[in-house]
Amino acid sequence: MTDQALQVSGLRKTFKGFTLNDVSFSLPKGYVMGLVGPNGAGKTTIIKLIMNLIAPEAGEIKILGLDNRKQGVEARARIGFVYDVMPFYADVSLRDTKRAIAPFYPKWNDALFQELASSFDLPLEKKVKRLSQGMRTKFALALALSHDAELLVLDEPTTGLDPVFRRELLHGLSGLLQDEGKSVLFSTHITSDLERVADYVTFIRNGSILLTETREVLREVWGVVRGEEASVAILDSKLWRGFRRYPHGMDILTSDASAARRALGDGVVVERASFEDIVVLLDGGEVHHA
Amino acid sequence: MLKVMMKDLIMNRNALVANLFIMAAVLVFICSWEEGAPVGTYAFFSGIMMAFVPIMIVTREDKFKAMALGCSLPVTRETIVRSRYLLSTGFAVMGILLAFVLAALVPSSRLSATELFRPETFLRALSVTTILIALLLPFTLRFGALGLILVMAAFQVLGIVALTMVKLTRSSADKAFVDSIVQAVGNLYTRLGSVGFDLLLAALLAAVLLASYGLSVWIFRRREL
Repeated sequence: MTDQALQVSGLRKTFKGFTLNDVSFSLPKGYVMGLVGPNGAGKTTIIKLIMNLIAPEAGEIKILGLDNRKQGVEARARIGFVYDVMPFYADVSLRDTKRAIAPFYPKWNDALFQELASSFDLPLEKKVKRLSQGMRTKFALALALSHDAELLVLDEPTTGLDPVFRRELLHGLSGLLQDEGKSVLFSTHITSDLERVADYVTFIRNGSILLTETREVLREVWGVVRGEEASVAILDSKLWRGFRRYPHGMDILTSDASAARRALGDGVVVERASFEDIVVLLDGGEVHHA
Repeated sequence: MLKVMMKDLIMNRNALVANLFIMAAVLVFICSWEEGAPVGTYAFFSGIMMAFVPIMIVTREDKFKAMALGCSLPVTRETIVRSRYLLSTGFAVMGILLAFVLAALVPSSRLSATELFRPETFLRALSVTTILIALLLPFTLRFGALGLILVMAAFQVLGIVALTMVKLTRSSADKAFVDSIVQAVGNLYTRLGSVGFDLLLAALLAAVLLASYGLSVWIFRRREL
């Protein structure tokens, strides 16, 4: 029995003009990981690799201890998935789509599906093409949550959702984890989503992982040094993890706020780093050493 | 595997019913032809039409980009391909039989039931369907609707090249080559009816389908979605 819901190690995949390079991270059971990065960073590629929709050139993925290529069927039976654009048949009703998909899952719970469909206001008789993007995501979520999946893999699940439902969804995900010990990997570029639910944050840019860390460490240990360039740039570059220059100053992201405070003294502001700070500053400068 | 077949039937139910109605209308037209279409021609057209039913399932999946949905479910890609081939064979056998029943029952039909319900007529239709499925399924599984277009275009180009060669070179060898192919196919069909040949043809069709299945599995396992 493994205590890891997901283990990704040494993953490599090359496309024309893009390489996913030596990607490794792991998600313990019962936690939520936010996979964050700009468009084209490789988030969807990682999710496709996890779901075995594409094959890696190197590396290994274990889902709940199962090799996702050799034991793919057993692994996928325990995954609930939501893609950014759900590949449903547009001219088929939600009810028929559910009828076609449900038999694949041994633990399908139809009563739970009906309950979720009702709470999401899903019009089951309507065809998929009559639904908005948000409603399609809700339908995909209802399917993903109705077969007792132990790992939820969600690719941009909050895109296209209205703010009210987005918040409900994120609360729902947290509740699900507290009640049932499920794990969630979700990709997003909305940092406020991370603040709400992510226990772990993995930041990816240009196909490489720049950071994979717990929320506690990011909140307690990381910081942002703000000030005029002349006064903040004297900080030992070993403490820098990213930076951005502005017309009247500079922000430096550091993975050791205490050390930065000690080094710079009281004259310089070292703030706690928000997730948005981390994402923006990691994406801004070129300093990413661990 | 049954789950994959059921999924395909549910997801394509309306399109299948609509297509079967269109096919039935075309078949009624052919069997009611005043000049009198020979039973072989009717079997040939029935065979062609039934081959496009399974191809439609794959092209619709491609149209909605739904292969990613199928491949995300707890099922192997080999099972998906196997279910497609079994569904295709089932549709071919059932569809051809239904086409024959239709021609036998339609009052305006010029074809008789005794002509239609012979093993050789059935095998003639089945051979067309099987060869088309064996040829088209690997391409559509790899390239979707584009695969279908590619094969069709290749046939068109091949036909144009053959005709142009004959016309340009005025070579009797070219014409003889084309004629010999037509004659060989014709000869094959005239041999239909003898039990030995029918069995041999059935075995050959099964082998062609099996080879196509192997190729499709190899292709589909490597397809990136």
